[in-house]
Amino acid sequence: MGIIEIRGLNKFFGSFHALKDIDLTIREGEVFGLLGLNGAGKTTLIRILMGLLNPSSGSVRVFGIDPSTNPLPIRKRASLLPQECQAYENLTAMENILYYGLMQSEAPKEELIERANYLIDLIGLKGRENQLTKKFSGGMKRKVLVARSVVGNPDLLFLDEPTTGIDVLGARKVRNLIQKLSRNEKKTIILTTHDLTEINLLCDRVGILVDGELKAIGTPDELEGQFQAANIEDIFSSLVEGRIGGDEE
Amino acid sequence: MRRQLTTLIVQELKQAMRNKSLVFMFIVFPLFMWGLQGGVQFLAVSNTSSEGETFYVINRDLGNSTVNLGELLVKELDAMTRINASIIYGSVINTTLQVDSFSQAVSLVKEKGISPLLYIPENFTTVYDNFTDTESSVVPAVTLLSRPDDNALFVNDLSTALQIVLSSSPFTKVTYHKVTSFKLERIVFEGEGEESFFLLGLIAFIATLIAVQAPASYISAAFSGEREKHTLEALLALPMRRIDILLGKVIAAFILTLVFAVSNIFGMVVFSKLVRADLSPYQMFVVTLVLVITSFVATGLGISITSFAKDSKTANTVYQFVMLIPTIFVGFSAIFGTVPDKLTWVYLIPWMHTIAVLQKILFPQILSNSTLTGNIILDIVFHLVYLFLFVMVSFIVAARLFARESILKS
Repeated sequence: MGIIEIRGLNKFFGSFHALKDIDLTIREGEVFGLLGLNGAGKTTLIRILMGLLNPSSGSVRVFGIDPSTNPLPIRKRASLLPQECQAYENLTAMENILYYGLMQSEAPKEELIERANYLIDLIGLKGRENQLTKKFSGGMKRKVLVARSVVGNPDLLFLDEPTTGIDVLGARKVRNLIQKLSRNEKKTIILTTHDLTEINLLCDRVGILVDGELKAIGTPDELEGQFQAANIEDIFSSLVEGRIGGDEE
Repeated sequence: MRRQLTTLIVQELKQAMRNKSLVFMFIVFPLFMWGLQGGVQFLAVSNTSSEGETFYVINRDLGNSTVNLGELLVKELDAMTRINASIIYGSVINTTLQVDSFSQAVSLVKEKGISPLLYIPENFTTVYDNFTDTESSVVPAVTLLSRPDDNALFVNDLSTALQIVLSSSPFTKVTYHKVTSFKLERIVFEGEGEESFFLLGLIAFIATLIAVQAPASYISAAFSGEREKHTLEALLALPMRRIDILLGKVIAAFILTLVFAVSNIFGMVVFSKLVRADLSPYQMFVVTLVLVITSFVATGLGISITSFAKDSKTANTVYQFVMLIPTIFVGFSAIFGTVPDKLTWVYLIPWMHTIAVLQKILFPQILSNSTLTGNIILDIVFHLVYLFLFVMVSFIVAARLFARESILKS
């Protein structure tokens, strides 16, 4: 049984069919990459898994719990870094990180400060932790948010485009952090990104969403074999442009 | 849960205290508003100082076997002309005139221009003795006569001074007529009358205006601002019920309101010094209390409004429209007169009740004849219950709006 179980999930916004019959199982400890163009339904899916939106039909279980009826136990063990999220500009980097640590975790404050310092060091913000984030660049703010989303030591992480706006070196640090969380701390991570290199580097399995439909699921190797393509980028382009049909193949 | 709520409140307050516009609205704005109003009043008073102004008193009171309240009234007024902080300080009281009837006094004012003139009738002490608290009609006791060409501000100050004396011991049962001009128009001072309430009305207006305006910037930052700055989604994804997030923000708003109240007390001290109104600690406490209630009501209503708005700018615009127009309307009615009978619907506006509470707590004896329920205590309870219900309904609506799915994208 997976940490996330989705069966026949549909989501409508008015007459717009945002998610179409999604079936997906995500196993504990894996890094699952969710690929899709803007508006494909990635954020909607994550919001449903966090209990921020309710499904129109179908069944969703996270840690065996239905997020639409009982989201709080899930949110104690899962953390979300939304795509368009910003840091609180009138708080320092450390305050931003600790704020969410204290809200999510029951660990003592000293322990959270220690972990926050460790994360700040890891993402390259050492020495800037006591500055207000309104003085930070967009990339630095994003790093603060990445640290903020993991400080509470959640078992499950939803990272919606975590490296967007971060420079090359910064993005590498964030990727290293994700790898550490996965390999050393055995976190389950759902990662959405437009960066296909990131998918290849970090993800155990990939799901490709096209217009709300999950067209393909598998490891990068499985998908390359299934679609007889050289890499994920080719598969993604073909699915998005409709040159291959995904599930029907 | 307690740790989460405390953390949320602390962070909200920390952010608010680092936000210049919020600090301005909660701390600087009240000081500025009270100071500004006080300054304007001060200039008006300075330009039309009571100093050197003369008013006439004809005391025909026969008294009873033990006391002559007319003499006591004249004595109190005379004392006020010598108290530096008094609004009629420096004015001259002339008690040399004598008449045989009220109509002669009217003639003195009308034909000889002896004005303003305070007429105390022969039966003043008797009226006082026979007056009972249960009496429903107003019993005229003394009359202030003035002419249209008199210094209006001085007459107003004199009227206020008279009201202050008559609403203090031992005159608390007494009411008076004020005759303005000679069109035979008589205004019976029943508490919510015009001139004598000017200062109190002004205070109520300023307090309401400040209390309604202050929470606006926090509310728009804490609700539509979260959405606009893309901080809301992560906040809602924390293991905390939305109603608790709302509660945390409301508690933070309430704490800011208390900070704001302290700032207002300083503002009122400055104001009272400038207008020489000598607000007592009790009066300031009541004004502050009503101000906190008003601000809290505004917070509840404001949260509902901002939960609809797509960004802070829209939230602020709608807030100003919904809040400011009724506030100005209510404020003017507080300053310039009572609510006409046909406009009782204005009691739907919560600020009408805050002003009414303020006036009825501060001047129960004057307003005892113009109650809504027939009893001033019941009236105050009624106003407070209305405000409480209004806050509750506002928060229920806000909680519903805050819980809806579309809050993330609206």
